[in-house]
Amino acid sequence: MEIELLLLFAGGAVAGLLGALLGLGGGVLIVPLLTLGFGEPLSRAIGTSLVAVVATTAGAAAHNLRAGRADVRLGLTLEIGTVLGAAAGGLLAGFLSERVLAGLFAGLMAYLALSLLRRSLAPADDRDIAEQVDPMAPDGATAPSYRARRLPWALGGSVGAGAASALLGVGGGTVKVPVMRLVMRVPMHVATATSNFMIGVTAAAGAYAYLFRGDIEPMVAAPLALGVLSGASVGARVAPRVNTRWLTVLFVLVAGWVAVEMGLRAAGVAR
Amino acid sequence: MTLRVDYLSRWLPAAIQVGTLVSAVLMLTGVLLGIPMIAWYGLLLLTLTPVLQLGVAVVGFGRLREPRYSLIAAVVLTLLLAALAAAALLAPGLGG
Repeated sequence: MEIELLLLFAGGAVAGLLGALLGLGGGVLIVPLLTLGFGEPLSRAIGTSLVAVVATTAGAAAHNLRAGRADVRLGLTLEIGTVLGAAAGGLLAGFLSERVLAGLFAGLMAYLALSLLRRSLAPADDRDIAEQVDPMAPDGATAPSYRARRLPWALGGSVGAGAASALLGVGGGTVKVPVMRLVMRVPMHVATATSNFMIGVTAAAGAYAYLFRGDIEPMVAAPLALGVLSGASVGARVAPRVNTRWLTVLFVLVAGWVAVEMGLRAAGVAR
Repeated sequence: MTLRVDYLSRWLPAAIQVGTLVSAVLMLTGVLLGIPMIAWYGLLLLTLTPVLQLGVAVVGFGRLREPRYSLIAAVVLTLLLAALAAAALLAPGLGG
């Protein structure tokens, strides 16, 4: 039992560290870790992951807020949609079969692997100029001014982000950041920081249903969340000094493998 | 939209850190003593940290004399509490 607790803590720390280094909420790493590594049922892994995601974002969100990088006003406005979506998704997840959840998760991992692969293969000059803004750069007087557009569309996308978060145990940043960036034309580093501020609220809204349904085993989730908290804190500090190119390639391979494994589960070929 | 929210840039991170720290202590206590219920309350407290965060936003925007965003924060807080209440009422029993 003690060894399993230590392994959960260590696994959580690695997921938190990688999540912070790659700019992910950590849920996309925690769900496969629990299902494929510890043999937990997918519904339980998703609930546990949601709680851990709240822990993952706590360190980075506090850092971004203190630096004034996150747009709190925009984040709160979009939270109306994400909280509604997450609350509905959390309740709906209780009625979905493991195979449906596995299929949805396989789709998410395939999308994530492809988008990260495309980003890592693109030459630096061809990338979106906004993505090259140093997220750790000081703001204030030098911060770019912008006007967020198409709020109704973004609110609709936020409902989808919240539902995806609660159904799949992820932070939903993979939907929120593109919504803010592509629909609202918010600068990339502001979208990332704002998404990070929002993730904790969204994940909590989805986690309540799992927590009260008994889909979260405290002696699994607590050591994992403590590990994630430690790993994410270290990751947030070392992230600006780490070259994540090879880490991204490694993640793409892992995400591809997870997508195949989850796809096989969805098809009923593997358990 | 501007990036700077001075009052909130001080108190929002503080709310997140206090909530996380207290829940981490509870979770660690539950794990070390082998009492799942204490760990469960630590997890619940961790998920309640955003409630504290939104409460600070409601007060903060009120103090900044921005009633529109104070109201938006209050709406999100109400939705989050409604999600908590719905989960608690619809669940067959408590976890842990």
